Amino acid sequence: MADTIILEVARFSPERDSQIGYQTFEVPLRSDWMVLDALNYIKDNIDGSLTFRWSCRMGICGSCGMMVNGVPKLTCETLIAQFAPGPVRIEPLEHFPVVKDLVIDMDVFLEKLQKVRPWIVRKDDRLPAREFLQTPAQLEAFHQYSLCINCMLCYAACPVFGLDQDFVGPAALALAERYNLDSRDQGAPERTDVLSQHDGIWDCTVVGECSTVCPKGVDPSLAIQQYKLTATKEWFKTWLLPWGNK
Amino acid sequence: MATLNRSNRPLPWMVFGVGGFLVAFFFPVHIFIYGIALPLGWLPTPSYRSTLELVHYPITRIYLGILLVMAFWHAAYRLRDTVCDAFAMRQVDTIVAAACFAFALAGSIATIVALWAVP
Amino acid sequence: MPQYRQFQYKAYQPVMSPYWYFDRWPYLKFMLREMSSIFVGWFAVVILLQLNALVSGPTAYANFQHWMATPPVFIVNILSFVFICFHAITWFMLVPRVVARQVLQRPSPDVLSAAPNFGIWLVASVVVALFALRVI
Ligand code: SF4
Ligand code: FES
Repeated sequence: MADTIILEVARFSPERDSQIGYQTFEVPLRSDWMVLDALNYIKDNIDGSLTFRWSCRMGICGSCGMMVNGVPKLTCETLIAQFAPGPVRIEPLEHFPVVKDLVIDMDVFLEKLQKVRPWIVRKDDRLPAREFLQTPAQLEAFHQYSLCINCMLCYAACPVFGLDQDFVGPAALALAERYNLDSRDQGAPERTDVLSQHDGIWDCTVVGECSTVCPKGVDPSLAIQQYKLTATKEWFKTWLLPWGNK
Repeated sequence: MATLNRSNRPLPWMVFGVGGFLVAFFFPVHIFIYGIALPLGWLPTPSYRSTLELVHYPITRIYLGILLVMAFWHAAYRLRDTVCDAFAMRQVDTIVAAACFAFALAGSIATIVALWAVP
Repeated sequence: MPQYRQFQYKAYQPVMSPYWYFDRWPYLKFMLREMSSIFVGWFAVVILLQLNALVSGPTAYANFQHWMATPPVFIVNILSFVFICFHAITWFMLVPRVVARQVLQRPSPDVLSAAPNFGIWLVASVVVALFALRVI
């Protein structure tokens, strides 16, 4: 194994640039290094101005997502050696506005997230006297969708989001489904109003890459298709059964 | 009635879904026989009379009617998204949708007319 | 968005290439899958033409058979076969999974939910073939 590898890192300075440029760095190639370690090596030893987000470096905070050779990855759990002999291209997550270098503006995502009310909605706001009970089967119904760490890799992988920025998008839709399937939640009708829209579930053309890139196995694509089925059942209830529209 | 704000996509989507199944189950064998095997002479070509007899069975006509109408709408639904995505023209979605669904409508009418014309 | 703008950063807004599906193989695969719709439309029209020819008499039907054997039509038919089989396989892998999860209310193994469809596919093909070739 060669002992160094070339990184082509996207650079963008909001004051200077109007386009993204690329800068090459040569870093040591170590078998136990993640891409994030290589970036930190650059920041510590070569160019302190290189800007990127990270925190937990154990694949749980969801802040280190970047495009590695064109594929969205959590850089803290992507071994750099697999790309040898290189070069490796590191870019900010696709489809998002770039603030600086590898840092994207996540407001777009946060707005969408809020829209789907990803919390337990109850019909009355009174605090229950005791905690809600849930069987293991009820937990299993939504557990997979609750694993999302909001890393936005799925948005970067989603061409529909790239083509139509109004699309609510994979993670937000999966989280909506997560709460809809929760036996404690009563907010499904309101969520369906938000989501059974053209820029909600119906924008999705099932590319399926969101599920492939998701580091947590959430499978947003499946959640969206399920939601389509649910919305369809609701629609038929509303239009075919006069008493269905309650 | 908040529900009225919801999209009416479920109807075409349902047709798209059922059509997708029918196309997947039945189209490959149709294409294989009439489009590949018979022209290449891999299989003995049934006589004209016996093939005509086939469409005299009501079941064949019902089968073809459902299959073709669903196939046209399935194709139209998907073609609309494909055209919009392939040329990045989601802004003119309405026009594309109108053109695709007009094609499906024409295909459906043609199917019914053709099956009606069977003596 | 804050009202205060003077030192507000100017973010770079990425633009998506209209030919984005050439960027990566999974996207191209998606586009090819979606393009099966063109061939579905094509062969639905072919079946209609066949029906018309059949009803119009033996000469018309012979002409139709001859037309199906001409190279351009034959090539389009081969393409249709490939594309629609691709559609069928992707469809059988995805749709039953969605339905199965909806019914069972929990994740289900992919292979199990997809398997019956391939069985139905086979049976349906054999039955249609037996009829089309006038074995029955
Ligand atoms: S669904 Fe997966 S890829 Fe998308 S934000 Fe959540 S964890 Fe990340
Ligand atoms: S640094 Fe937390 S997920 Fe990578």
